[in-house]
Amino acid sequence: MVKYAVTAALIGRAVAFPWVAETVGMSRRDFANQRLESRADLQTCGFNPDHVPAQGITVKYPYCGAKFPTPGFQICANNLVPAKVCLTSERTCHERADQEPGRHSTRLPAAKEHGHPRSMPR
Amino acid sequence: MVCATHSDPFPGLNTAANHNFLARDGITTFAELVDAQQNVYGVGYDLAVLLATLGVGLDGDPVTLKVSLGCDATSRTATPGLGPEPGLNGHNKFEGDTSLTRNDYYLANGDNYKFNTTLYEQMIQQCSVGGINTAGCNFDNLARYRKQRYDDSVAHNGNFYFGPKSVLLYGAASFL
Repeated sequence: MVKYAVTAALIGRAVAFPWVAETVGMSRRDFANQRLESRADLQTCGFNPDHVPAQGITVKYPYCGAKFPTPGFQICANNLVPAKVCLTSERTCHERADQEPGRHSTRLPAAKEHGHPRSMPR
Repeated sequence: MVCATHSDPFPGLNTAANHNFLARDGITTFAELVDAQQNVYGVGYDLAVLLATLGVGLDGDPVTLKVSLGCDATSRTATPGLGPEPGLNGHNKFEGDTSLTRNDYYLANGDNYKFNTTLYEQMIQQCSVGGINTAGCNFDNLARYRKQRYDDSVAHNGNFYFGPKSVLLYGAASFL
């Protein structure tokens, strides 16, 4: 834990040295336009006191079986996302629901978000 | 996550959050990212770990292992004393220029996260080039569109940056 804290602090200090930033793939331009970077509406998200973690897989809806640190199945065929039979009363079946208050998202207009079967040999 | 009219620059993660494979409020964790990539998109475990490591390492917190999918939520992701942590919107960290459906950061007054319908239509147009109307957005068509976006950034973005991480994001069109 201490090692992580020290490492993170040192990395944070690296932004004061542009040549260090460049060696890790950043550009001096990242620091040039501070006014743009400091726009208030880009700085913070609103506070949400009711954080709910993601619903992982369940026995009924295993998807590809991935549950960290356990990897998913080597072969994951016919993985319908979300599950084909998905009762709206079941919170665990990953049906699309309205966003958390104040959070917006975009959907790919022509992309098949729902029920696109996947057969993905690894 | 109250972000005005914002979304995040990665539609796949946005979709996963819509379906609660990632936390719906956009504050997700390393484990959630690894699991969602595999369960939703069939990404291999090693690649999922690599991408989650980059996301959390570049835009999130290496101690709490949390990252915001979009805007800066440092107060909810950071270990006390660390930060700021810009979230995946953070420019030239995980997010980069020449995105498929998002503007370059310096061409849109910092809006590198909202879905751009015009760019999407251009992508679909490239996916239908050459009379191969049924091919869709396959490898060749996406490569052609990637070049179009690169050329457009070179021509119009005086702050265009294409570094080593950009190559990885470019490669996402092939390995994902």
